[in-house]
Amino acid sequence: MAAVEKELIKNVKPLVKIDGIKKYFTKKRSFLEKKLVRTDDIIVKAVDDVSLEVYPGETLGLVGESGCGKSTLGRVVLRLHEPTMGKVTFGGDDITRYSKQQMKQFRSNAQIIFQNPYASLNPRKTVRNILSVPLKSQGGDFIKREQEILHLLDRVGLNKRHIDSYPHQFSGGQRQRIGIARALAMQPKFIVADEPVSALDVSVQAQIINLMQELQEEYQLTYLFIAHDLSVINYVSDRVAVMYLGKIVELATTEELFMHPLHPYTKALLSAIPYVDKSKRRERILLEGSVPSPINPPSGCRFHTRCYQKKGKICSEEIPQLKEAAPGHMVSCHLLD
Amino acid sequence: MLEIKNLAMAFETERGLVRAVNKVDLSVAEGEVMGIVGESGCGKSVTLLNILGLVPHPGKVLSGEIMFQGEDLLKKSKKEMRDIRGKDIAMIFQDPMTTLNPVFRIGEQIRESMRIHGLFKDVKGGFFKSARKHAEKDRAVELMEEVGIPSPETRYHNFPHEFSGGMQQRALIAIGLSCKPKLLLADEPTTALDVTIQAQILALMQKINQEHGAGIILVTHDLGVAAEFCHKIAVMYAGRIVEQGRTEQVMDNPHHPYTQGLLRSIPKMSSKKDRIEPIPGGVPDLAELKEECAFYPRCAKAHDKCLSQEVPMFDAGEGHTVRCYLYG
Amino acid sequence: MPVTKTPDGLSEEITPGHPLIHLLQIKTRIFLADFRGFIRKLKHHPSALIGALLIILFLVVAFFAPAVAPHDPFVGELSERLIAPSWLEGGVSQYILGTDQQGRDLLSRIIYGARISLWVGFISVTISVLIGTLLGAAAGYFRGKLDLFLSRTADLLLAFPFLIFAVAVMSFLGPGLINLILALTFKGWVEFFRLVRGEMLSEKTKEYVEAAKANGQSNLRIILSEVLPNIIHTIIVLGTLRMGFFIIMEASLSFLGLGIQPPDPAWGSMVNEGRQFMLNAWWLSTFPGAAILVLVLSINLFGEGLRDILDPRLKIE
Repeated sequence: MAAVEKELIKNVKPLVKIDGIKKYFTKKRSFLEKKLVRTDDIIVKAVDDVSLEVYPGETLGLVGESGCGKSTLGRVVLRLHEPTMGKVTFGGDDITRYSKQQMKQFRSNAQIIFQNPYASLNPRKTVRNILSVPLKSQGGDFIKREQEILHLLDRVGLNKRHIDSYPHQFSGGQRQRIGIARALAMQPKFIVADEPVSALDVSVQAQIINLMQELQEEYQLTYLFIAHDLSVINYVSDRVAVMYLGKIVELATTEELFMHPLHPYTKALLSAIPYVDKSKRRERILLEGSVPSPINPPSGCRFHTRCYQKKGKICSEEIPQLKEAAPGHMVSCHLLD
Repeated sequence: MLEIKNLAMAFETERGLVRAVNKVDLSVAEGEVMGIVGESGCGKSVTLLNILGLVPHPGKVLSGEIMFQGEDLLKKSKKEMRDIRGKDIAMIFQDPMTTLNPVFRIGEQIRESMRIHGLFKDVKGGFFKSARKHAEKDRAVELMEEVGIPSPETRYHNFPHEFSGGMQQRALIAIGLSCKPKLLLADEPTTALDVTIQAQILALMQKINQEHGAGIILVTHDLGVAAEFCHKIAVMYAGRIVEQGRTEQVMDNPHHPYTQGLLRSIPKMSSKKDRIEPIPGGVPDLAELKEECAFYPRCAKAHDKCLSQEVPMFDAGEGHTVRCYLYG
Repeated sequence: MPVTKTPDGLSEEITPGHPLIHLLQIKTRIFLADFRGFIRKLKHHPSALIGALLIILFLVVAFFAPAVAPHDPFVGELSERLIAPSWLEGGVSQYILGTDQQGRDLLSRIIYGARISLWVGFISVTISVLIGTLLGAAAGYFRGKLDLFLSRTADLLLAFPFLIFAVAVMSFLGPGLINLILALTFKGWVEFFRLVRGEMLSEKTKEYVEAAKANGQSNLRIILSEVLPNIIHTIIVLGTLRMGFFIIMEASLSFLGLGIQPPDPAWGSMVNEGRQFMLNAWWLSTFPGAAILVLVLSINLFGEGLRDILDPRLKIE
């Protein structure tokens, strides 16, 4: 994978720019409920003020525990969810203002690969039907489409005789290959990969990771790679963003982040990985309790309720900003002020 | 303490016998942590269910014995097995949300197992056996405290959905521990949990192992978890154990091509990026297995001998056994 | 969906001719394989099979009624009134099930009555399915005010007992075939609406729908070509079961004199007409009643069987 040089980043324009994105999900209470039970609307702050830049050709890893909002962010970037606030620009254009026609164009530029290879393929459709949908929107006649389907199958490592099989006739790894082929069919520049390997067995997981990397080189793809598995993130990413309760807590190049984590949460996360290799094991930092609910997130720094290095009152009162602690290494923590 | 000898079981399906567990030998000493690792469908979870006599419906034990404290569990009646389950052998499942009953309070569910096994049946007195209920409740609160559930007195009255995933798993462990089992079976206990919570649960299980001296069999697909947590490891593939030995032996010096392949396909955590090498192909269809080596089609070191007959377990020294002709 | 498979689990290779013909070949093959699979499963499900055979019998008889019926169902000899079935004392071999008060052949009237019952059942179910599916899919997919309005309407309609509601509508509209179908569908769509809406809500959250969105498919296409094929089998099952119910409703309304009017031979009105001769000519009510029973029973057996056969989670072998 072509590692993007730090110097280069300064000069290259980002392909995708996420600017102050907030995504709140609201569960409205009815008038009667409000009057009788005296409850308010429930607001889940899934993503709360996140800014990120993804540069062409790189893989940006987005890591965090379940419920931290990483998948929601991935979907907002593709406008599968409308953001509550903020904007996403793709190649300089604000996609949140795109018209229907422009969205169609954008859909072919940005694609998604899903986590669950069982739910992400329509069980009633054959591989041919699944792949011809994106190809139809590309235009071209039937014969060309047919050739393209066979080419895609070959490219993702499936036998062309699989073309008339239904999803349930495939193993998990093969289904994920179909999902990748479907994304690839749109000839995208940018792919959001939402936990693409976490439902797969280790040996198959490695096959899919390698396939995705080959494709990245071949088609100059840009990935936003969402995962909870740190070893996978470490392997595929050029840069890594760590998310906690809807906010980015740390952002750095992969090497920097894994060698010199600065945020207490990142440190705890890294220390929790079980290693086969004894020499890699770190002293484990056991966090207290579990992730608080995003319905009423803690005030100030969201991590302060579990933080083992709490500085004092400031942690629970003031929201820390994402600041550059070292060149290219952004951290949001009061400890570094 | 537990010794499984030559265990074989199969599911009868319309496509013929599906051999889920094939000639498995396994032993766990007192206070030992045994890890069974393998990919999905390799028969690791079914092996655990066999120990408890909980083989799901079309399944049938074909041969073998499971000796627990000198007695063959496979020969026991249903009632005798019910007495053993939860008392001498307890199990922790993968998904705490579906294992806990959503309509009963956590505390009641911990008490339930004590009540079934008559842990406090000698405690007499009070209306409606209230003395016994109090004894059970005290013990339940004690257990909840031990597994690290904060403010157990109030949490006792909570329902499962009021607990987070990690807390639910702790409650399940408390249920498992309630009758002081000699053997704890854990089927992917941390797979549904986040890394930081996984670390908490593993630390708790380690503590239980050391303090209670209970033997543990941990089934997992995560080689890292197995390497850090277990004393001994058995690697399973397509219903068979292909390699077994002490953790250092298996993890630092893997012998079987499958174990080697598995270890090579985990992304390494190092700054210089060595490419991961996946094992080509996929897991074989268990219904079409023959006696020969099941790993043959995916193996880089395969030769004709592997196809000729069933591969026996070879001793690679110091109790490290491998089912591969390379070491025969 | 069993596609013919070679031992290695791949579908057979067809020597490719022109791609379009090739595609056609494949589509037919998949369809035939599906159909064969369906028949195979049906064979292994005795009650569904019996239901299916009886329904086919009813359909054939109804379709070929002019050829099958031994007599004209509308014209009778008054001199041959109230003749008993042929095997009873006073019976004539000419009239197998006997004759009614106007001397018309009972068997012929029952055969023609099957036409009405099947026709009313089929048409009212079809209209209910169309309306219910359309509204249900829209409500489940788009939610919002539309969903709120439709769901409350459905709740309101469900608050009335079906028969009483139908009686009210019929007495307002007046009797007749068209009005009968209108009365049945007026409330009949609600069941389908609720089913489709619920299924849509659960399917909508699945990732394949998101994938379709990411591929730039329009909402209409997502509903029609992605989601509907996944819920169509539950609609078919409910449709079959509701058809039996609608036939009973038609019979009930005709019995009450609100549905099909004499001299048209509806089973319900035949039961009603025969009621006054119950003591000396019991067959007049009994045989049309039995026809209703057998038809509805076989439809229900078939419907229950379909539920098992079409459910991909249940395996019948």
